[in-house]
Amino acid sequence: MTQPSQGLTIEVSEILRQNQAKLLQEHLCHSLATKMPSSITLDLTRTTDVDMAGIQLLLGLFNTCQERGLTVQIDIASPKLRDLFKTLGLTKRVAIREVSLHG
Amino acid sequence: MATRSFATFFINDQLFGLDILMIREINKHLDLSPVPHAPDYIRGLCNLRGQIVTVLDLKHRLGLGHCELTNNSHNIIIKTDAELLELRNRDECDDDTHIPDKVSLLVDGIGEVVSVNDKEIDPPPPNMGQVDGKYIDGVIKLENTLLTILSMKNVLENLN
Amino acid sequence: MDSLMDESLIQEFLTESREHLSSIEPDLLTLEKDGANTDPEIINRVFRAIHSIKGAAGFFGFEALKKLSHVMENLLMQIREHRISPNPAVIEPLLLGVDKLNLMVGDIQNSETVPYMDVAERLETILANGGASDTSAPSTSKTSNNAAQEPQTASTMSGHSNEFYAEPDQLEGCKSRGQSLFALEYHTSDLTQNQQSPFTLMEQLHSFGVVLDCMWETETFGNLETCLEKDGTFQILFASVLEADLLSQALGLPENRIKALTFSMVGSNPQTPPLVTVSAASTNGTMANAAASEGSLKTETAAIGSVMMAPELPETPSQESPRASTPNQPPPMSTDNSSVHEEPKAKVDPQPQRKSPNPGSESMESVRVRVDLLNKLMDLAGEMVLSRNQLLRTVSKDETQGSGLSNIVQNIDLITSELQEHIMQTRMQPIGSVFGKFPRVVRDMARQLNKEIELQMSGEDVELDKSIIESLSDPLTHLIRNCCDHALEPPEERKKAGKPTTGTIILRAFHQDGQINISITDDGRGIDHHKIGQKALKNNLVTEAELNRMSPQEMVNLIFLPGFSTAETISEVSGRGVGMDVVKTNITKLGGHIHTDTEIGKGTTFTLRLPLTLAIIPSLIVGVSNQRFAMPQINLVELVCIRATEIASRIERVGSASVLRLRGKLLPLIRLADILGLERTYTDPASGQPKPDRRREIGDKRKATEHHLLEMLEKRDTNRRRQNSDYNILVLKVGVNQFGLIVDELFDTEEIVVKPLSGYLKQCKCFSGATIMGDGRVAMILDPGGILAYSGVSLEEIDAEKRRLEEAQNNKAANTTKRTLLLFHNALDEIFAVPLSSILRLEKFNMDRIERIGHKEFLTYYGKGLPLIRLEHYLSVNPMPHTQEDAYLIIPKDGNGAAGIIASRIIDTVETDVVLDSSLATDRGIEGSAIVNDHLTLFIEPNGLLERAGISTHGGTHGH
Repeated sequence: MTQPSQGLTIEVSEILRQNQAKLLQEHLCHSLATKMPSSITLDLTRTTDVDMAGIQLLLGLFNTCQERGLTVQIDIASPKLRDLFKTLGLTKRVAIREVSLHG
Repeated sequence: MATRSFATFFINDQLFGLDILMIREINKHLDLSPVPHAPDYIRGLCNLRGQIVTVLDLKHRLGLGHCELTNNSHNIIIKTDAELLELRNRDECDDDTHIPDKVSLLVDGIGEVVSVNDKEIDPPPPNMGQVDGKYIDGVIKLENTLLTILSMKNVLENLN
Repeated sequence: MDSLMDESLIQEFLTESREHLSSIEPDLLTLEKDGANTDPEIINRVFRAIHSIKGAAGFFGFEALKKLSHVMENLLMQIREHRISPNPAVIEPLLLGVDKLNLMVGDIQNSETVPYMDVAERLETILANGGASDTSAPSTSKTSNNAAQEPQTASTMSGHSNEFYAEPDQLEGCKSRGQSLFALEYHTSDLTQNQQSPFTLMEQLHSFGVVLDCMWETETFGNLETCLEKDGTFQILFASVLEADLLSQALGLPENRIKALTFSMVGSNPQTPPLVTVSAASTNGTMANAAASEGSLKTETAAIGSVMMAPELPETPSQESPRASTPNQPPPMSTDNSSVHEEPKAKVDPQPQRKSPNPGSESMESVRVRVDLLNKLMDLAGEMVLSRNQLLRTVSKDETQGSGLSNIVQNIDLITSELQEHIMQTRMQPIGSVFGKFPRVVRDMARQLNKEIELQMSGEDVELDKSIIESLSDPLTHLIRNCCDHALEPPEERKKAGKPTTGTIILRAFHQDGQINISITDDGRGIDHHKIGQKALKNNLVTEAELNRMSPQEMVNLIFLPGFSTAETISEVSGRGVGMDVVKTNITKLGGHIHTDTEIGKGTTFTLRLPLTLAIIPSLIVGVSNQRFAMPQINLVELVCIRATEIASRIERVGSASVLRLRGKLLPLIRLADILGLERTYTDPASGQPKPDRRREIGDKRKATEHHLLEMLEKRDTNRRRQNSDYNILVLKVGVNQFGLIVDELFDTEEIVVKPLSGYLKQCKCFSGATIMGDGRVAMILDPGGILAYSGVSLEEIDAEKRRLEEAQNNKAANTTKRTLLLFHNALDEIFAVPLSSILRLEKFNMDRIERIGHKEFLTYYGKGLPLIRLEHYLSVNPMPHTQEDAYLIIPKDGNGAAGIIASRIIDTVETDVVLDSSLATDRGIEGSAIVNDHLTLFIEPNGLLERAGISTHGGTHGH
């Protein structure tokens, strides 16, 4: 996991709100700086609840990745989350993969 | 079993009651201004904190003669449609008497508030003395007297 | 968000719909008049109004409302697109549709029961035919079929909105549901501050419409390090049936963050800017952001390469909006569609480029306030005035203390007055809200009656109290309809009369003497007072004798009598069983008067005079029998105090009424105590009749009041010397009439707050309301009209009697009555006149037939000797020539044919209303003189003449 140009996958907690977003932000900044991945996958398959801070974080991440030429993928499972991302047009901005939890 | 509360008052020495939900307040007799040409049962107008209230002579309405003004005289001020709107919307008041503006009933004196179960209210007996049966909704037997419940609708509507 | 779907939102919708509907009508009329040359903004306005009604109706599930407005919208769309020209045949059903919509909105709960299919079908027929037949439209290179056009509009839309993206069928679906497109601008802080999660935001949005797309202004979100501190902006493409202002309420989003993107207009309406321009207009910064983000979005989507859902269409805004300097776009993939579509339209509607897309933006300075809230404020202001009055009263008692209190009180006095005035102003509405419906009324009437009528209006901005405005609608409508139906002649008739074929009605509102005047003037046939009189006679409203005594003005006023307008005069068009009496009653109820000026052949003017407001009125407080009453100043002409010593000379009896002689006029008197039944305290209860000795006793005992005035009038000789009984008389006007009201006591003038009478007191016609006085007691407000009606005093009778009295007593009437005269000569250089109505017979006879007994002359007439009167024998006039062979015999009605007056020659009969000069009426038998047909004419008064000739004017016997 320490090699550059490797994909980085980060698991996100069930709730992605202000507090968790802050932690995730720190974690992401640290990982990007230290691991220099070529792509990032955010694993939101356990996540069911997102607030605006969570969305802000995602957009900040997208911007940074775009600056640095990293690709982003988001894995989600919750239909609720999927619908939200779809109506928010996030599906157009980033590759979002739907993962069946039982699959 | 639903409990109902009645404000009670006297006409002559007879005890009458009205559902307390319909009553806004009860005041000592206020200064009356008579209205020429008004129907007999109108005693006049009075000023209730800037609002004009039409005072009805309940005794006359019930066919018991004219109310004489004494120190015991009281005005029973009835809620208007606007004030009853919320109660009626919540179905807490099923009396649909049309009361467009402030009206009060002049009575000889007031009694206590009586709360009873619905089933304690008896239908009016055929003979209620001098009062026309259409003004009576029911009677309640109290310890030592009989409480006559008035029909707000028939007292206030179809006056003309 | 369910709570927002409640009554208040519906009420809001209804209020707004009513406003829309009232604005549509005049616009449609303009459209009808100006046809294809109509300002495109007017068409757009009508379209938007109907569109928003339709949208909201769909949202609330008012099906009938939605369906009808939908058809209307379709037709309006075709008119906008110049596919159907707005000729009267097209506008007519649209107007009918507006009527139906009004009905539905007026009673929304029963809106489904309003029959509208006939109108809808008419509209559909026009839609079906109009599109196919009308080839004059400039841009019909494409199919003008409605269905074929929609996908095209949708794709044009997606071409425009390069940032927003949605499936064409999704757009189509929104459109068919009557939804409009909006760009909603959200900031992340909006949600974080309200602790609203994106989920609840979506829920909220979904309850009001459809989220079609979301556009993230990515720059505003910063990067990974800064994103949580940034206030990011994102735009949501939203389709909803709600209009922007309702949406703003429903979503709690400020209105300036909601941009309407009426998608059906995109591509055809250059004034509807594409999103880039909207963003640029909102803040300078966001434009750069939007443009930049657009670029970044592209690169990114390209990089991700997965989410494109439809082919990209060319960007058109840069072509038509030079200031929207968007970055370079990829070359258009297809040029024909958009450019061909765009350019001709831009020519059709070039100017409103800079106009705000929101037509209601000028009303941003106002807020909507519930009427009940206003009424409550009004009440409170009223109570404040009362308290102020009480305060003033109390303080003036203690003023001697010399504290600083009086200054404070003075301040409060001023502030209260100002407060009251301003709150009153909130109730003021321009009368235009009533006037606004008349163009339609007149138009419809003109069409139905085949007349040409032009309505001119002025003073629409004159403001009146809301309650007055509301009550004015019916009377004014009636008067206008009357003008169209009865007053204005058909074109042929007007032509014959030398008038322009188009009749004109002028409706004016203006201020005068603190009152509002509204006049309705027509240039029609005028009111023929003779005809009115005859009709009133026929309907038994007046007697012939009454009619004979009436002035033309009085006869004209007969039209206001109840029962005058019968089925005969009410045509199907103008009459709904309401007569002019109702008009008058309504105006009188408002404290107003109506006045009629008419000239036969020239036209008629009705003038309504109305008070500005009804709520707070200055009034004179009067007392009767220890009760106080308020008399509105507006009815008060003057106060007259009659000293006891003057009663005999000033007050007299005419017919059944007592009258006051005031500056040569006779004023009927009414005693308020009598009217109100309050006299009993002062009269003998046993008989109800005052006794002379009792009156004297009262007069001795106490300071006399006027209560015995009327009795005194009856027996004034016995009471002539009564002392200390001064009489307070209010001279009141009711319409053009005046009367005197006798009261016990006079108090101050007070500003009183009018409170309506309880339903229990509706029968008390002598009062117009009640009020609370400075001392907290309730006082009734007197209604002069009601009092006059209740008294049974007939002003007409008094007027007529007054005239006759004056004529008889003074023999020098300033008589302006129009009457028909017989003009004749005695000596050939002098002209005489005698009223035709006073002549029993007129005959020619041979002078040889005259027989003489002593110096008296007779003529054998129907077997009897008829005494003859020569004017020169009794009046200082020249004798008739002796050479005359034939002469004329004028037998007056007076004396029942007992004598004849000799005339040498009959000149003519004329109808005239000359004013008699009585300076020549020195002789009994001459009524006066006047210039008739340019000649000085002496008016003979037959009665006086006969009396001078010693002929009894009462019996039928011949005098000897």
